[in-house]
Amino acid sequence: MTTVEYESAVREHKDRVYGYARSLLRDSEDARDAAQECLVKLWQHKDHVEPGIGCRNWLLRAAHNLCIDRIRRRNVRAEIDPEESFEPVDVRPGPERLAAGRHAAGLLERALMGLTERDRAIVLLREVEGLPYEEIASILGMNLGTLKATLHRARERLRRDLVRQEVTP
Amino acid sequence: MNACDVGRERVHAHFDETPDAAASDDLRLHLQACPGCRELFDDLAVLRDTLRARPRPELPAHDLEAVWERTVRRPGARWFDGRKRAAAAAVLVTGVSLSTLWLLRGPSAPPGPTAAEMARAEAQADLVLSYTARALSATRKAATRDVVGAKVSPAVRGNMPRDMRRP
Repeated sequence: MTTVEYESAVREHKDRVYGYARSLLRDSEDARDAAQECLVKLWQHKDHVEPGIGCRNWLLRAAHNLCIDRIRRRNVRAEIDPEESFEPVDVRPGPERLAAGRHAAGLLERALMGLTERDRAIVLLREVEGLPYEEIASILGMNLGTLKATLHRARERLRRDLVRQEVTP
Repeated sequence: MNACDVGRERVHAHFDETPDAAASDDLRLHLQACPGCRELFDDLAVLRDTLRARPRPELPAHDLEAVWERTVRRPGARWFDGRKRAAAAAVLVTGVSLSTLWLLRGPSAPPGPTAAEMARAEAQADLVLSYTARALSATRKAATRDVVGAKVSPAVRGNMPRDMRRP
């Protein structure tokens, strides 16, 4: 990757990296530092990174690892027990309860924060960034079966939390 | 209402975006018959759309500036660009190679003499050699005459001084 390609990649992916870091770290200051560090790291490794999709995946992988390191350092454990088993719940009343409204985005953020870092990362990488399963599995060091099962569980957890928040604001 | 286990798998497979046509038909039929799975399907559709529409925060401009300062604007940073570095290395190697060749061969020789010039030079050389031979011959004769006349002849003639004669 040349210097010009590096500059182009930074402009294209900076917000993606920052948004991902902010979603994982839940702290905008920390996320800004992590995003900077990640983009500088790309500069240091640019001779080994191909521009385009490869660069996007490299940045998300680097951002994920940097965020996990930061979370471990500050020892944040605010999320719910990751080993908690999923129990389907009866969600009432009706499908219109999740209709997109003024509160949908805020409710979603709260629900996302209720996920573990790993589950949140899977949801973000798959549903927001649109990465293929193989790439997510590679970034997170998981096998495909576990990844899909975890994603299914995370989706249902989000659904349950959204419904719960909507019903009892 | 809860989704059934079979329907739940199909619904998730649909949102995994890996369904085949037959599975899609099966799911459609199942959703018509199973309100719990229909509810799950609708909820996950809203969830997916909400996630995709989630606004992406923008990295503040001064953070981007800080990145540039630490990377492309660092003194000499652009010289470390991969292709430029390779081009500079190629130019350097070529320059060193050419310099080495030039030093080994020395300055280029003038063009060689023509046949006429060679013949004239040979004639001049012969002339010089004949003069030299004549001069050498004359010198030898003169030297012989002088030595024989001045040193050897008195002894041979018996005119040696008295103190030098044998007792």
